[in-house]
Amino acid sequence: MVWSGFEKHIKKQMVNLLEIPSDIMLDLPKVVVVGNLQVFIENHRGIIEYTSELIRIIVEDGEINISGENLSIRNIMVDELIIEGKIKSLELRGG
Amino acid sequence: MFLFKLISYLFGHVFLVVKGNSLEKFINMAANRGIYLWDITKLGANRIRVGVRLSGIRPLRHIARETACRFKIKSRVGIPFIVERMKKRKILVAGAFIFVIVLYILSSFVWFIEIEGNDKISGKDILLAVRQVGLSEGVWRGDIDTAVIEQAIKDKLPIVAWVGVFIEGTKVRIEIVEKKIIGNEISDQPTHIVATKTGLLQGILVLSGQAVVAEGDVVEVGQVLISGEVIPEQTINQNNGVMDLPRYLQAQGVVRARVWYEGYGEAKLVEMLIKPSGKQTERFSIKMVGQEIILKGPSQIPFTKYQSEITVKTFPLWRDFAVPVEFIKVQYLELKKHREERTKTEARKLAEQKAWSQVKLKLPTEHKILKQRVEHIETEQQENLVRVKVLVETLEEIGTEKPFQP
Repeated sequence: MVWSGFEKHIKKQMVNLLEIPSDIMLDLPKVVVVGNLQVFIENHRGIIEYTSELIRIIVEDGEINISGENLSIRNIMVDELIIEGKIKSLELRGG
Repeated sequence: MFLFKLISYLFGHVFLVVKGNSLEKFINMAANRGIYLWDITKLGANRIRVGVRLSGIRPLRHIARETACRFKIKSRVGIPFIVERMKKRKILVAGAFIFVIVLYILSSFVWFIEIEGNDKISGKDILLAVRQVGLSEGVWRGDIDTAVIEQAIKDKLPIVAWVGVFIEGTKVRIEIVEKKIIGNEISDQPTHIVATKTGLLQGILVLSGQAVVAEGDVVEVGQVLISGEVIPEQTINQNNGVMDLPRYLQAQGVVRARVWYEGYGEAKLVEMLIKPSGKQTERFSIKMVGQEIILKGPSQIPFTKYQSEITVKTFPLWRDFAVPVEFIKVQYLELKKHREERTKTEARKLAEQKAWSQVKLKLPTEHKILKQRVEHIETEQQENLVRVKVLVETLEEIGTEKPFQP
């Protein structure tokens, strides 16, 4: 536990030092929001809940909650996901 | 995205309706196994609609069993399904194939023969000539050798100067240029050489025929100069007591004569003319279905006297359909009265020009001017007019052929 915390600390320092995009190095999700129409998420870990009003997605260290109306998953691949619909809110929850 | 859609269409895809309590798990497992899912929409409490490629259905069955979901195929899209449907309707496919094949076979025959450029030869003659070398409606196109046909037309119809045979789809176009026959060389009617103008004969050269006039004679228009009727000399046959019959031939020769021309011109010293003043306006209008609408320019023409130039622009004809819209541009040039005053020399020059232009109209293309004189006609009383007479004497050929009946 101590060791993994130390490893993360070192990784963060390296990222800062070498200016590497953190989504690659730290396996963090990258979220692109286009207006209130589309959300694009890279590096997801799967869907926990899907209704037309709420979509919950697991990511590294937490989850992303998207709520809105008529939400649909435009496409889903191993690490990539596009959500469309009328998006009202997007919430990041740390684990 | 377009490429993706095209590939989906080529390999076929289906839309499924998945029923179950753990739909999220179903989606996650599919995504993890690399099955591409798209357009996932919620239909009800535990029903979703999913798009998936044809190749993904078999693994999805496993996933459905594991997650306790069930799915039904809602709609099928793409070429594999069309092929499947076509397999059930073999006669329709065969019909389409037969149609294409028949169309192809029929298009390899000649159905029309078009002849262009024939004026004296009738189209029937050409068709007949062409039929003998094996070109007629209904002949297979591959059998046609255009060079052979061209040669055959030339051989059979000697009046043809050039012929081109072109195969254009199911139509054969025969283009013909006929020989032009200049003059009537064929006629062997005897001819005289007669005078075209009144003049004083200056030289006469007889090539064939008998001269009936001599140098120095004054001849009138239409007078016979070289006769085509040759009367044999009396002396030779006098002892027989029988007169030889005259011979008739086509007279030929060159007859030159002096010809006089006269031209008259006059010019006023003071003259009222109507000339464009330089002021002008333009009016653009559009004409649609008989109604003219002014786009630019005055509705009332600001000139009392004017001259107008109209240019109309229309759309090009498309097939037989003329677009009923015209653009009209009218240019109005103002005209004004103008008092022109000339000095005596200026007026004389103008009159001379007029007289000369009159003479030039009468002069033949080939002539040699021997003498020319300009005369001013002076009248006693003071006048507003200058009159000029131009006299020209030329040397030219005045003979022309004229057929006659012996």
